Amino acid sequence: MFHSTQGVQGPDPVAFPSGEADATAGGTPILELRDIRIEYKGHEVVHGVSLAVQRGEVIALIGPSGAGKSSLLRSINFLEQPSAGQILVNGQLVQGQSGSRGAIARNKSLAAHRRDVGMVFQQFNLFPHLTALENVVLAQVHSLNRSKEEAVARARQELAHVGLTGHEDKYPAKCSGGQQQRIAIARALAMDPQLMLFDEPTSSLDPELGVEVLNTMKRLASEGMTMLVVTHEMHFAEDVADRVVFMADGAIVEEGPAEQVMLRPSSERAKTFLSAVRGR
Amino acid sequence: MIESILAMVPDFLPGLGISLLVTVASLALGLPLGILLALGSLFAGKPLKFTCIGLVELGRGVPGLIMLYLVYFGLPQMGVVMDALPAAMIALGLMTGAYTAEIFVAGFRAVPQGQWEACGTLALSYWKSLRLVILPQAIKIVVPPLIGWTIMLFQATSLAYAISVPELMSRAYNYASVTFEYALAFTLAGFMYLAVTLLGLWLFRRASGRRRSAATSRAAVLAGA
Amino acid sequence: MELLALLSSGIGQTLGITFGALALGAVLAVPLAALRRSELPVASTAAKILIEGIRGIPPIVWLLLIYFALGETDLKLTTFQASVIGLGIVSTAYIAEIYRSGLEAIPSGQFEAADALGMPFGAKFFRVITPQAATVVIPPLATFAIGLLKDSALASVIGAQDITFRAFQEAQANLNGLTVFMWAALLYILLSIPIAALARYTGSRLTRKVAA
Repeated sequence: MFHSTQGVQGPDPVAFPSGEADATAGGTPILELRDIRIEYKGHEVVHGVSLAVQRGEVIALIGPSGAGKSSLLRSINFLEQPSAGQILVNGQLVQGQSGSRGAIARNKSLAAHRRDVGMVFQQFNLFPHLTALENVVLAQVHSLNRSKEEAVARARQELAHVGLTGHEDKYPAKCSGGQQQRIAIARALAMDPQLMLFDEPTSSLDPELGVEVLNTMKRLASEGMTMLVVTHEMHFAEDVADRVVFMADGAIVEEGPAEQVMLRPSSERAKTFLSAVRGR
Repeated sequence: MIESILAMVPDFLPGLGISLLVTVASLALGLPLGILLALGSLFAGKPLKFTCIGLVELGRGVPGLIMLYLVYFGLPQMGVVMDALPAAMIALGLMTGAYTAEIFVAGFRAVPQGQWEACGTLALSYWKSLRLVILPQAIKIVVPPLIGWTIMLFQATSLAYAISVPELMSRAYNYASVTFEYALAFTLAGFMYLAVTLLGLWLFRRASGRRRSAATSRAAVLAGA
Repeated sequence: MELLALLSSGIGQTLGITFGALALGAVLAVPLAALRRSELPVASTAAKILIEGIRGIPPIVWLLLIYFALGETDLKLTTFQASVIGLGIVSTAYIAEIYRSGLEAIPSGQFEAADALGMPFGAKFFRVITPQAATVVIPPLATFAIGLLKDSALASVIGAQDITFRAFQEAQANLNGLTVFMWAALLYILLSIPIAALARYTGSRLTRKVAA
C-alpha cells in the first residue's frame, strides 16, 4: 500500500523562505500528517491536524499545556494510536495498527518506520540496567542488525558527538539529567534516523542542565537534521526553529516562519500565549 | 539435657536436609510455573488471561495443608498414586507457582511504561524488548520478594509432616514419641527452622541492597513487596 | 450435599480457632509493639528478638509444642485451646509488626501537634493517633486474618475438629480425597471473602473519616 503524493497537503511549504528547507521545498515532504485525529479516554484531544515537514527543516511545536502537542508528536511513531488520519514518510503511507502493544511492535512496516524516526522523551527513558555505551549499542545490534564492533564504534562516535566522551561506562543513575538526555539523543542518532522527534526534552531539567541539551539540539539543527520539537523554550523556537507551529485546543491555530509567529503573531490566541510566557 | 540434644541432632539433621530438598524441588517446579502464570495473566488474550488470574487466586486462596492433601489423597481418586515426598514437592510447587506469579506480575508492572515506549521507538521487536530491557529490570525488582517467598516456603515444608514425609518435623515427632521429650525435641526443631530462616533473612537484606532493619525487611516479605 | 453438610460442621471450629487466635494476638501485640517502639534499647531489642524468633519458627511447630509439650505437664489443654494459643502466639508477633508499621506511618508532626496542644496521653492516643493508625493497620490486618484462616487448617494435625479434620476423616474412610478436599478448599475460599469485604468496607469508611 504505497501511495505517492501529488503535491503537499496542508500548509504550503513554498511559503517559507528558510535556509535549509528551501533546497527541497516543493518536493515530497519527509513527513506528512494528514487530518490526524487522536482520542483519549473517549474524547478527542487532537481534531484533524495536517502538517508537512521538509527535509532539513526544524519545526518548533508550541502552545499551552493540553493543546495536544505531545499527543500529536507521539502519534507520529504510533506511541499514541491516531483514531483517524494518515501518516506518510517520503510519500509512503505508514501502516499503523491498532491493537495490543505486541501487535504494533510485530508490524513490519511500523518497525521500519520507527527506525526512520528518532524519539527523545521528556523523561529520557534510558535503560537503567545498561551503561551509556550499552544504551546506544542495544538497538543498533538488535534492531538494525549491526555487528557488535560496528555498533560500539558508532556508539562511541555518537556519544562524542553529544559531548560525552569519557562517560561511556557510566550507568544512567550516575549521570546528571542533562547528560542522561544527551545519551538519549545519542541513542536515537545511532539509528540513522531521517527525522528526530523531541517531546519537551528540557522540561524535566534544571535550567543550567537544559542548556547543555539545547546546545546539542542546536548543533544537530545546524548539521541539517530534520527535527520536530515540542518545547516550552521560547528562545529555542525563536532562534533555532525554521518554522513555528502554534497549537491550542487540539488544533493548529497559527504557523509560519519562526520570526513571524514569535514576533508578529496574527491570532489573538497566540498573542495572549506568547505575551503570557514572555511576561514571566 | 545437653546429652539429649547431642543425641537428637544427628537424628534431626537428615530431616533438615529433606526439608531443604523439598524447598529446592518446589522452587524448581514452581518458579517456571509462576513465570508462565505471570506472563499469561499480563499479556495473554482474554480467555487464557482470566484462566491464569483465576488459577493464581485459587492457588493463593487454598490452605497449604489442603493443597498437600489434594495431591497426596486426592490424585489417587483419579488413579494417580505417588509417594509422600514427590506429593509434597508437587503441592508446594503449585503453591510456589501461584505466589511467585503474583510477585512476577508486580515486577513486570514496576517497570515504567516509558521503557516499553523507548523500545518501541527504537523498533525493538516485542520479544527483544521483553528479553533485553523489561526482564532484566523486572528480575532485579523480584529477587528480594522471591527470597522472601523461599523463606516462607522453607517453613511451609513443615506441612509435609502431616503426610509423614521424613523431614525435620516428622523426625522430631518420631523421636519424641519414643523418648517423650516433646518439649526439647520440638524446641530444637524450632531453633533449626529459625537458624535457616535467619540465614535467609540475611540473604534477603543483602539482596535488597539497602540496609533495612530485620523487622522491616520481614514486613516487606510478608507484604509480598 | 451430605458431604458439604459434613464439612460445614467443622466451620465452627475453624472460625473459632481463627478469631480466637486473632483476638489473642491483637491484644498481646499491643504491649509487644509498645516494647518494640520503646526508647530503651534493651526493651526494643528484646521485643525484636522475640518477634523474629516467633516468626522464624513454623506455626505447626508452635502447635505441636503447645499441645504435646504442655501435655507433659499437669496443664491439660483441649485441641481447640492448644490451637488458639499456638496460633495466638504466632499472631502476636505478626500483629505487633503490623501495629508498629501503623504507628510509624503517622508523621511525627501529629505527635508534636498533640503535645503542643497540651493533650493528655489518653486523648492524644485515642483521638489523634489511633484513628490515623487504624486506616493504615486495617488492610494488612485483614490480609493477615485471611492467612490465619488458612493456617488454622494446621489445627487438624493435633486433632482439632475443624473443616480440614472432617475432610481428612471422610477422605480416609471413603477414598474420595479429590472431591472432599476440593469442597474443603472452596469452603475456605468462601469464608475468606467476607473478611476481605469487611476489611475493604471498614478501611474505606475509616479513610473517609480521616480524610474529611
